[in-house]
Amino acid sequence: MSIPIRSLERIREALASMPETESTDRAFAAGAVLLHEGERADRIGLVIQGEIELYKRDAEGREHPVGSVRPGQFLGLLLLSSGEPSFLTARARTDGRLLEMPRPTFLRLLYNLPGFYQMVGPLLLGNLVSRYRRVVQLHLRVAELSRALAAEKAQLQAALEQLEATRNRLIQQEKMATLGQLVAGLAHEINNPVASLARAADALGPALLGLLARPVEARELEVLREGLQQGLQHQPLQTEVQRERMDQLAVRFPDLPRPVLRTLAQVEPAVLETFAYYVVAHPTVERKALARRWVEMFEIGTLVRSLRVAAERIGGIVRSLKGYSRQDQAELAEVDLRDGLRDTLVLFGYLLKRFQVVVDLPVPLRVRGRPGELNQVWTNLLLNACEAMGERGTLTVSGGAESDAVWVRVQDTGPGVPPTLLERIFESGFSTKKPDDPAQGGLGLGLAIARSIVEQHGGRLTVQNVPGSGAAFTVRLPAAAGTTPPSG
Amino acid sequence: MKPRQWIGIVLGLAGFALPWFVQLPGLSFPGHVTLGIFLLAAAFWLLEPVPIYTTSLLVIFLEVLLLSAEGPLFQYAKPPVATPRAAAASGEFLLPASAVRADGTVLVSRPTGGAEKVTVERLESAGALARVRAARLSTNSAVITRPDHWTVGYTPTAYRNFFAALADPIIILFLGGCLLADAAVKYGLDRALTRLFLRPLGSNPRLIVLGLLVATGVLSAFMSNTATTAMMMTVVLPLIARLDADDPLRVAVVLAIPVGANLGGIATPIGTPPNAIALAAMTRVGAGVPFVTWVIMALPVVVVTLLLSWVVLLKLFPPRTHALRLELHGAFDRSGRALGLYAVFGLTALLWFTENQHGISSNIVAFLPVVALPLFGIVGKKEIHALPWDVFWLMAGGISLGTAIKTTGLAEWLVAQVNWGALGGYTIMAGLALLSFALANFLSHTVTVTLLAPLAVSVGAAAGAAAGFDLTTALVAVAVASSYGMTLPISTPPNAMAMGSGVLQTRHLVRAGGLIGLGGLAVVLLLAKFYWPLFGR
Amino acid sequence: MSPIYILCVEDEPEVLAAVVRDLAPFEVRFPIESAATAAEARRVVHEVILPRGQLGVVVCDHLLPGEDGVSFLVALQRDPRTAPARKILLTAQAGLAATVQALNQAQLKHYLAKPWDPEELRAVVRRQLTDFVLERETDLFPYLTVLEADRLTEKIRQQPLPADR
Repeated sequence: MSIPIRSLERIREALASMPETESTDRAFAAGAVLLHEGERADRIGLVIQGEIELYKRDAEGREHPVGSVRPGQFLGLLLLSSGEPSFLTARARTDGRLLEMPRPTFLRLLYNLPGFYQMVGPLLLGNLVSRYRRVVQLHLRVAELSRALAAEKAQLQAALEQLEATRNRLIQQEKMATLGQLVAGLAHEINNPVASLARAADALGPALLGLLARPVEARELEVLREGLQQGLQHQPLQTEVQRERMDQLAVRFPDLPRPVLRTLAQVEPAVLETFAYYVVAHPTVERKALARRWVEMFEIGTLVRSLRVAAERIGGIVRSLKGYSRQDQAELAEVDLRDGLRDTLVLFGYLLKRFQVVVDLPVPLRVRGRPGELNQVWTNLLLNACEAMGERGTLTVSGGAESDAVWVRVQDTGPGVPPTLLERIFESGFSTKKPDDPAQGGLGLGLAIARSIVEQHGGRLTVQNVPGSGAAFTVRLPAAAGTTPPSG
Repeated sequence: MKPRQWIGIVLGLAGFALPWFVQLPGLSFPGHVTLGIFLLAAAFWLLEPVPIYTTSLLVIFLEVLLLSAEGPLFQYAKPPVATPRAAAASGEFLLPASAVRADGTVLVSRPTGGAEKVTVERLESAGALARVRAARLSTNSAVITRPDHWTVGYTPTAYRNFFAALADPIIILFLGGCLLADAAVKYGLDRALTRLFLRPLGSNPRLIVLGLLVATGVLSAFMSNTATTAMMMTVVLPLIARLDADDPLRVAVVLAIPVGANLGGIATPIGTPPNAIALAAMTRVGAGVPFVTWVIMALPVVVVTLLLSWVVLLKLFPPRTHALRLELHGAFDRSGRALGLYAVFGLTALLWFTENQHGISSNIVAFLPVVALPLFGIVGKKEIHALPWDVFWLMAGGISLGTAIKTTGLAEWLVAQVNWGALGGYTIMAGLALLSFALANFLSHTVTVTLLAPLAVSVGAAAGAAAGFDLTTALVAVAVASSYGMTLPISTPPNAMAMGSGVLQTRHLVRAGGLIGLGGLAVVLLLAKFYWPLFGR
Repeated sequence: MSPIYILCVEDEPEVLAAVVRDLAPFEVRFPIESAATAAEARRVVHEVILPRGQLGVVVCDHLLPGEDGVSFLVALQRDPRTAPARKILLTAQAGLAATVQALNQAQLKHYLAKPWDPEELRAVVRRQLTDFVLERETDLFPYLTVLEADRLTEKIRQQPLPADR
């Protein structure tokens, strides 16, 4: 609602002509602050010319425009009756003029000065009506906005939930991929000793039956016991040494079949000499038979030893598996990181076979953590290093303790990480692997998961390129309380 | 080349050249040539600088070149001749004095080759000329002026006779046998027969060894020893794979095969080439025997030595296992062609064994399978090509060498060198048999008999040279004795094959082969005394 | 007759001993050599086997320290002297990709999983050796006790009958 300038001018002139109104005509420049929020305003102004913007400060001190005062409208109207401090700030948008009079005067005149009300009343009412109308509109806007906001919020919530679910699924898939590799590794690690176990057990039966098929004389027992003893103690030879010894034995005993030569090659030369002196060198029929039995006893000894070695291997793997798979253990516990690292190295040994592996973990690395989750970190770092190195290379796992932190570094001799990607490799879904190669498990979440686990433990996972030697991933974790770092 | 082979070449060439430089009294010039060829062949066969059949080819070639009428030597080298001049009186002629020989004859060269002896009456000698009276001379007669010329006294053989050795009836007999054997293997007849022999024997290892000896022997009588061994090895080697590595039965079973094959080969003329060579040699001098007679003569020695082998093998290599399960594949093939084969086989064998009844030579009968098998499509080009042509040539070389030795007078000369009569017939036969056995241990059996047969024939040719000498007996003894030469791995191809199986060691073979060979030789000497002469002429 | 070798490549000494023990019945004819790594196996092939005879069968583990089994077999296949050798992969674990590569590039003849059945291992080796011998050898008798006798016999019976001499 606007009031024609002309009638405003008339009101101004009328008011100015009444000395009891104590009105002053005041000019203001653009940008001038006419009223401060929180200030106690004792004057009321009628804007004659120009425009004034009103601002309200929020809880954090930011100002928000909340409306404007135009010619014909009052500044400080709301304070008229209450006399409270101003809750708005008024700032001139343009140059202008306003007619000001003290608040008590204005009130007094309003009730007492005849004609004043007739002049000002419509203005006041119009002003109040327009403001009320605006408030009503604002309420409506607010209601609309609140509704839209609520809808938006609900949508966002849904999206967030979906995102969370996807992330969890991906992490689960990543874990399954790791698990697949773990199972394949386990199959390999266990199948080897199982094969040697089964084959040795198979061979042992017939060997014993064959041995007992003929009577043993008392005086032979000592010799046979010696053979068994040698077999039990025997350490497998390097194939090259064995070949060399076989060649020498073939020259010495040209009539012996190769399987017997192979067994004899296993016998320590010194023992063989004693044995040869006693038995082989005097090839009477009985001695020959005794020699054959000695060899059979020796073989039985080696078979028993194979059984033991295989059983120990399987036991070790199962122990590692138990250590590794403490995933369910949710509570924090004080652990030595070296245990988890060793278990992980054992279980993924089949992947590491083609590389040189250097382990340098001289001191205990005690932290408070969830062992299962930390093993996931080591696994992901190892798998990442293997993939980076491809066919061959050297993997170095080192660690150390400082005053309040421990660190573990997994370093490969792969191509390293391009400097532009150094941070991106920890992002979810970032992978340098070919996506269409099913042989390469994993979804590119490994490093992201590792980092998030490390961060949950209050630590940091960083990567740097080692000049001339691939990438090094370093895990730093706060040391468990009470851990004394090694001096020096 | 090994030193042995170099020595063979040097000795062979020296032997070949020797008679050209050394005059042997009483031996004609062609005799010298033949002796040279013989020495060359002997050196080459003994020391093998070239494969033995190659030596045979060389022998035939040298004979054609140096001994045949059409060869360059006798085609161009002729004795000088002159025609008699008519003297004053009719029936009297003037001749070069050198033409008249001491016994009052002259030699008149015939246009067809050779010379005719004409008796003349020497009237007077006038310088280089002699006046003679002779009824059967004319002024057209080509009188040989130098009767001591080196070509005189030898009627060169037509070259076709040397080449014809390849088609010698005995080789045809052998060819028939080979083709029958090929067809038999092609249709699995050998396998089916083996099963027939062995199945009734159960699983007693001792009986199985006997069965293997007999089965191998029977097959080998009609097939080559080597082929029989090959076939039987494929039967027994998988069998013994199931035995313990140190069970002596393995050795016994594997040894039974070459032993059975070597012995079985004795039984028929087609059993092995030495028999055929000996039979050819006999036949050439009219002392041949029919197929069935050979079998009757040879069978006792085969049966006795097979039994002896059984005893020897089981004594030397007593089986440890008590049961040996035989798994023999192969039933009789009942296809039309296989039935045709059985018919041809049966008919041929029947005719061979009934020669005395129908009188048709076994050599002719042998051509029946040669014709019938390809005719009915039972065998094809592949089998014809796969025939052992090297062995045929080897035999042909031996046969043609025998021919040359006989026609050039080398045989008579050889006989004259030793006072055979003083030795006694049986001693000679025994000596030949021993020599044959000894040589056969180191040499090819065919070569052994090829070298010894002319010797035997020569002695036989000197009729009455030795009382109690029977040519048929001698040649059968030589052939049979050669088959006992199986002491060493190199003695026979079956031995080599058995060694190649990897089951045997040389000492196994030497012990068993030596014992059986000596036993066989004893039987030969006995039969040569009491049995074989019954069949001689 | 130059010997035909069997080569076993396996890095676990106990497993290697078991493989060699299982194959011992072949050793009367086919000497067995063994190696722990691909590099050593290559040395054995060139310094021991090829100067004395030929390589008949390779039984090879896949996961070996350093170079893996499949790439070793592929290399053998590329060398004309060892290309005829039969290749058998014996492994506790191998990805599909490794097996496919071996099948295609190394002419892999058989794939066996650990733990293996000794009879099956012997049957596979026997079959491969028989193939090798049938392809490369003329005198088959020495192999009748060790290899597949039926197939050898069939071949022998198709050859021309040997003759006496």
